[in-house]
Amino acid sequence: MKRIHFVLLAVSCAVGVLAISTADIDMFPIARVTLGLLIVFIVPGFALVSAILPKRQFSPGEYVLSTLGASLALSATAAVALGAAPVGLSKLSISVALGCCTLLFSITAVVRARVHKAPRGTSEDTSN
Amino acid sequence: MTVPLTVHSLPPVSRVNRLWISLVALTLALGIASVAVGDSESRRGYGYTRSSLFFWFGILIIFVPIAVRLLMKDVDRRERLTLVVLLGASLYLVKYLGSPTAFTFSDEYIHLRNTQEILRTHHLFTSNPLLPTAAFYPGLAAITAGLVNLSGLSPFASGLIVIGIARLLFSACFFLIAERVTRSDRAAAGASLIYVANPMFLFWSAAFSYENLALPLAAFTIWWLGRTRRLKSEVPLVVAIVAIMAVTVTHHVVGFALSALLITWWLVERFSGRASHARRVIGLMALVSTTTTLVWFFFVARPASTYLFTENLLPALRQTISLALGHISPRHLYVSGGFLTPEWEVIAGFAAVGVLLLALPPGLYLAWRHRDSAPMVAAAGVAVLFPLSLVPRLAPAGVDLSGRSSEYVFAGLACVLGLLVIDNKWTRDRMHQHSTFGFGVIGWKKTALATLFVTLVFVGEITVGQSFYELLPEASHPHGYPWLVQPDAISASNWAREHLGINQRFASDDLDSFALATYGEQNTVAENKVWPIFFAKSLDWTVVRDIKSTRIHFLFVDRQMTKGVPPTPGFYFSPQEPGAGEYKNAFPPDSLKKFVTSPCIDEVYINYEVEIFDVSRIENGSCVPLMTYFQDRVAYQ
Repeated sequence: MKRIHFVLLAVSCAVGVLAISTADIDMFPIARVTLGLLIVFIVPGFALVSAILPKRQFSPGEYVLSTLGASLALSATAAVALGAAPVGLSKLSISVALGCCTLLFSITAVVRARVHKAPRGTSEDTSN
Repeated sequence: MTVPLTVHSLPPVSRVNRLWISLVALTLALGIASVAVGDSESRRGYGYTRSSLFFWFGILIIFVPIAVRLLMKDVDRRERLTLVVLLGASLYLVKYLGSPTAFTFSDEYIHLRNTQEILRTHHLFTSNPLLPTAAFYPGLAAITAGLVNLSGLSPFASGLIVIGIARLLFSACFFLIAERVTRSDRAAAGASLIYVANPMFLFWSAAFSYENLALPLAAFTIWWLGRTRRLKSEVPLVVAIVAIMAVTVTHHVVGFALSALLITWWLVERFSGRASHARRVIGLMALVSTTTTLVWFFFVARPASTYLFTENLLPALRQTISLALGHISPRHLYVSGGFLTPEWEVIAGFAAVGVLLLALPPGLYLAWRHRDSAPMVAAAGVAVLFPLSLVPRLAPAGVDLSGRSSEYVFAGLACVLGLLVIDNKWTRDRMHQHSTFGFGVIGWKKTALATLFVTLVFVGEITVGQSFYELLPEASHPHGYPWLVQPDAISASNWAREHLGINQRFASDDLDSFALATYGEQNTVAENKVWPIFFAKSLDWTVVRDIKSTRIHFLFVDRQMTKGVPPTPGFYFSPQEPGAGEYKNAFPPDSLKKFVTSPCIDEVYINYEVEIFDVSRIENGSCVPLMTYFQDRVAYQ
């Protein structure tokens, strides 16, 4: 995993923490919109994909695509799960759920990247 | 025949051509501006002929330069991908420009109501009066409500962003999937152009509707599985499982389609005899998708089976079979609400379908040459359904089935026809004596020819998918019966929410029920139960009975009904009303007078053409209309 990837994971963690900590705070509209878009469409998917693929196996374009897709899937599933649960779907619950997912996946990504740093003899063929 | 496993790589000399990118960006901007002018002209009431010139000019200069570049040889793969995504985004903007301030499509109101309910109650599965099934597939509404909560944006803006992101995801995933299926980025570009030409893509697939989130998620699942299934780890399946769950809770048909595709993929590989970890991954995901879809469909979304089979699929199939047996006559195509479609659009529509039907056999032949590839076999299996999918369009109840199935059928059709734009060379016999057959479209002249055909298909299929008058926004003050919710109805709905409270039981015409259910947050009663109340000549005992049995408290009367016949789908309230689909005259004004003259009914709101009547005294029996009283006495004697 490249250094830039670790930086992006750190940013994801920061966005996750920010989402959780500002869930009950009124923010400037532009900051709220930016944070909302990041936490729904970008950071949870990026953290999840990074946790799942600790080695550099995708091109940057593929990372972008999988980040969007995984974020969309994760956010939709989380929102439905919260809405179906007694806690309900509110600003607080969705902020905490997506923020915690992001933190958890980001930490997992960093740990797995460290574990995979040592060279191994795994062979991978990603062609179809 | 052995087919190479890798995607065709491009020559190392091919790079992103900045000149072309600049040219395409310029034409996109011009095209979008032209469409915006056309929309604006139409809103001002300049008429279709004048406004549509701007619209079609804009559409053409958005599509043609991108199509030319995508079909050219020696174009960088990344450039093709970028252009495909740009085309998807630009066509999304075309839909947005048609309704830039609020949702206006019927399905959009259904999901807006779902979103409002989640925002209000914080929970799912509250009843949706517009479409009860939609409440049980809350994926789109839930993520939109989540975004509203997090960003503070309106449900409209949040919905636009969700569907916009989904559109980008779908455009990219479809290109990459087609690239793996056809093993060529040029063929994938051709496939993407054909898919964009499906009759639903320009408007329907860009609407705030649950299918338009589920389909991109399904495409993402397929791409992800194709990309990661050969990794020596099961961990990547987590993303696929999350995406499958998201599809399951978002849309029923997409859930079934994804399951069917995964099962087909697994079966083809199973019978091609290649046992591998990768095949087991597909089998496992097919099992997960099928199980979750069926469990959700039968145990959670209980109204869905009635809605899908009893109300939609079976009537459409029944009528299609009757049509095939000659029991009913075919529907007149391009006739809607008394409007006459421009002749050139009719010709373009038939020409588009003709081109696709003619191109299908050679495409299938090329696909047959790639039969070692399981995805290509699956794509060919879907493509052969294209001619069959056209038949229900001729039956009155089959239009929706034919139209909506195109989003799925075109996925296979596009991959198969995409093969026609590449050089196709193969070994003729086993002695390696090569013989080249020229089914592929190569070179400049043939690129131009391919662009011409694909543009014809694109334009023609737009006319197939949308009535001509719905391509542009309605005039601000339409003369006849409108096809979009009017500001008067929105004002009345807002008034009802503020002064009558939410969730009152209302009876209204089909169009205004959308405004009442969303802006007014009222519970509109199903129109097929209330049309007799409005159609009755006088306030007789049948009207009283219907008001009581449906427990209606308020009537929403839009006198625009008396100004013109209803356009597509050709009814004011319900397809069951007398004259539905065959109107020659507007709704009779006399039928609406009965509400004004009865002392048991109170007029609580009037503004221009819209009135709201309180019928709660009839509903609770505290007031009996005079005519009913005498009718009861006559009946008693």
